[in-house]
Amino acid sequence: MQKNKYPPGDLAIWIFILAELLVFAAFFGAYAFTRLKNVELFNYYQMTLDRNAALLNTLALITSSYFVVRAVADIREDDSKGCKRWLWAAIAMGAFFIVIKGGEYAHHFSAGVTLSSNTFYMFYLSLTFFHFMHVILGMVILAAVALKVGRGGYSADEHTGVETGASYWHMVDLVWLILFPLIYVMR
Amino acid sequence: MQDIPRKRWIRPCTLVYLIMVALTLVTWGIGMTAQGGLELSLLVLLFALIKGQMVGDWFMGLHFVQGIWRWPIIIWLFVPGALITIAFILSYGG
Repeated sequence: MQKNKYPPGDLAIWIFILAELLVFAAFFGAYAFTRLKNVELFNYYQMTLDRNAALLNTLALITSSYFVVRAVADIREDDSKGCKRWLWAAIAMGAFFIVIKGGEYAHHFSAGVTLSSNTFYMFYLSLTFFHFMHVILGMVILAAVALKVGRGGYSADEHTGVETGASYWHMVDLVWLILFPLIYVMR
Repeated sequence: MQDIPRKRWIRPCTLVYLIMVALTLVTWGIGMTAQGGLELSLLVLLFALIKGQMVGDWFMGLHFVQGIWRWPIIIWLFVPGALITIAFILSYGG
C-alpha cells in the first residue's frame, strides 16, 4: 500500500505539536540533570507521590487515545454517530484524569506543598501542571470537534478537523507516557 | 490524504492499546514493589519509549506516512530518553 505524504490532520497542528514536544523534552532533561545533584531529595519526596493515582491517570489517557483512534476510524467511514460517541468517551476519560490529578494537587496543597517547598516539588508541580493545562486544552478541542461532528460538520470526504484534534490529543498522551515513569517510578 | 483501510489500522491499534496497558501495569508494579535501582529505572524508561513509539506509529498514524514526518517523534523519544539515561547512569556513579 502506498504511504501518505503528510501526517493526518492539518499540517499547522504538527508544527505546534513539535514545538510543544520540544518544550517538554527540555523539561525532562532539566528534571533528570537537576535530580543528579539532588538524588536523595528527589528519591525521598518521590515516595510522597500517589503511584496508584498515576496508574489510573496513565490508563485513562491511553484509553482516551484509543477512543480517539476509534472516532477517527468511524468518521473515515462516514459514521458520524459512532465518531461522536467515541469522542465524548475520550473526553470523559480526560475528565477522569482531571479529577484524579486535581485530587492529587488538593492533597499536596493541603499538606502545605508549594512550588518553593523544594526542587523536587518545583519540578513535580510545574511539569505536571503544564501537562494538566494541555489535557484541559485537548478536552476543549475534542469537545469542539465532537459538537461539529454532531452538527454533521465532518464526513468521510472531509474530516481534517477530527484528525487535527486527534493528533493533538495523542501528543498529550505521548508526553504523559514519559512523565509517568520519570516523575513517579524512576529512582 | 489517503485514508488507511479500517482493518489495517484498528486491529493493530487494539493490540497496541493492550500492550500499552500491560506495560503500564508492569511499570506501576515496579514502582510499587521495588526499591528502585538503575536497571529497573532504565527498564521502565524503555517501556515508556516503546509506548511512545507505538502512539506515534499507530495512534497518530505515522506508520502510514512516508519520509521525514515519521522522524520527529522518533527523535523526540530518543533525545530525552538519552538525556534521562545519561543522568540516571551518572547518578549511580557511572
